[in-house]
Amino acid sequence: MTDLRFDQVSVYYPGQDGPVLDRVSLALAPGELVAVIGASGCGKTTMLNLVAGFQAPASGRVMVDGRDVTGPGADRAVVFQDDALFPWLDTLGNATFAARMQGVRRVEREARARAVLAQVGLAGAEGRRIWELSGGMRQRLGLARALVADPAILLLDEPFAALDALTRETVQELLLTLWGKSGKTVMLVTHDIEEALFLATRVIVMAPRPGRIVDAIKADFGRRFLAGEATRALKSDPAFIRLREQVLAGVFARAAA
Amino acid sequence: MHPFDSQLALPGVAEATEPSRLPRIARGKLLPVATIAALLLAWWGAAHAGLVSPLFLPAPEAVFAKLVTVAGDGFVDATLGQHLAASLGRMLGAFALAVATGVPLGLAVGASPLVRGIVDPLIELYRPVPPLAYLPLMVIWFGIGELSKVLLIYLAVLAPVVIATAAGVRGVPRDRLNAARALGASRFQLGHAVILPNALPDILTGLRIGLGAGWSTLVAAELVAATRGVGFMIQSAAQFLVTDVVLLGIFVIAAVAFALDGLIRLAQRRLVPWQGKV
Ligand SMILES: Nc1ncnc2c1ncn2[C@@H]1O[C@H](COP(=O)(O)OP(=O)(O)OP(=O)(O)O)[C@@H](O)[C@H]1O
Ligand SMILES: [Mg+2]
Repeated sequence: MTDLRFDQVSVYYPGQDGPVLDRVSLALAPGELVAVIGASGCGKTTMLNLVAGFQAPASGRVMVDGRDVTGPGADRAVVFQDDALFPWLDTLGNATFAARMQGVRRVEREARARAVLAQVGLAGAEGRRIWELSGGMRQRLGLARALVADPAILLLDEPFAALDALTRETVQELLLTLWGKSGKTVMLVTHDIEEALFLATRVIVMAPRPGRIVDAIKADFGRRFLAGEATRALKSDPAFIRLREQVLAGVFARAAA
Repeated sequence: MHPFDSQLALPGVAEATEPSRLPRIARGKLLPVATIAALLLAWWGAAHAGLVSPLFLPAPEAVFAKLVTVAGDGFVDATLGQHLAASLGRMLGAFALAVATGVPLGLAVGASPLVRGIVDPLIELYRPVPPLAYLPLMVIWFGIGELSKVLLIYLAVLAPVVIATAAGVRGVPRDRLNAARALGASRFQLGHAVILPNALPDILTGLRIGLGAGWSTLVAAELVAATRGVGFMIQSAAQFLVTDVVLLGIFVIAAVAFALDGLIRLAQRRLVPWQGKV
């Protein structure tokens, strides 16, 4: 169980007049699943990159378990929007990658990867090349590859955006199930308000120029799904619809302003 | 099994492409064959109609008959096999040398701005110069023997191999590198577990271009200075106006180029099956 803090974090990019992130503060409790939504270009990916250690803030601190992030590490795995799988490896090879980097013995790492692949519904696809997988299977493999690293924090950058509605819902349920079992801290970037509300314990709304947090909404639909309620029932629940409209209204009001 | 796997497998796709496939393959294979057959026929017709003297254009069957004699009895002191072996030996020796040095050099150029700053101008300086332009210099420095020819081919192969390898190293998608780093890969591990396999398609493309450049350079070099080799055979035959051997030599050169290219393409299909698919 790991917590995550942004403390007055600012980021500038060369060629941009203002800051891309302006003194952003945010804390994720251990085991929390936070969704970040906001217009394109408001700095969502930048926030994930900071946690992943791909880039450093201009000012402020990004801390995992009270320690400053200094670079990438297997304790924070990332699932990218365009899966970023390794095409020279087959499905099993992609899934075992993190364990191979850690020097885990072949038999052991393959056993570990097979177990995770089965969890995400990819049992039987171990020997397939990645271009033989459908979009949904590739996203699940991206998730499996991150899970085999057994990270304390899972960072997801619009991982389901390219999927059709039906597949997306299945993968959302899968993510909730895995999260419920593992208790990992998850930070999910999405464009889809419904997805954010359904999955997250807290939805963070961001606004652009400069990138900043403008709203935070608590939700418990993910926990209710884990407690046994049906997805469709939850997504058509009056409380769900009311929250969705509230978030949308806020987003539109700011867009108009 | 995952509940959505059956939908995700898209069972209709395979059948959907099937009907249009047969004619396309037939067209793809038949058209080139037909073109070559037509060319042969025109050649045969022109030679037999007495339009052109056999001195300028021997009949196809005469060239084929020559293939049998040159293969058996030889031409200018060596059989066709010996000429071919001499050419291929130079080619493959230079190619092996260029791969053994060009790939590591390309990796270094791609990975290090320092190495790139040193090597890039050197390559860009000699690459645009046609090899035949500096062949005389090689002959002055290294003599008329094997060394100057092998070095000439080596230089022709080296440039495309280094350039393609370096481009492959620099062309690793940022997400792929970041994904590997977030999965715990160290700097050293990034090199051999991500950057090298990622550059492999480019490396093989560089080898393919290099092989083509090397082969044409070699044949040209043998026209100028050699005592054995397919290029030399053509040159000698031309001096005595043995046109059928000239034609024969040209066909052998074309066939070898085609075969070498086919070998590399086979290697590409085997080693980098993902090329063009992801
Ligand atoms: N490497 C970079 N150099 C310069 N500017 C950049 C760079 N990366 C991002 N930016 C800019 O920073 C801003 C935030 O980018 P970021 O990728 O974090 O947005 P985002 O919220 O993830 O957007 P999207 O929803 O479109 O993915 C954008 O205006 C973008 O143009
Ligand atoms: Mg983004």
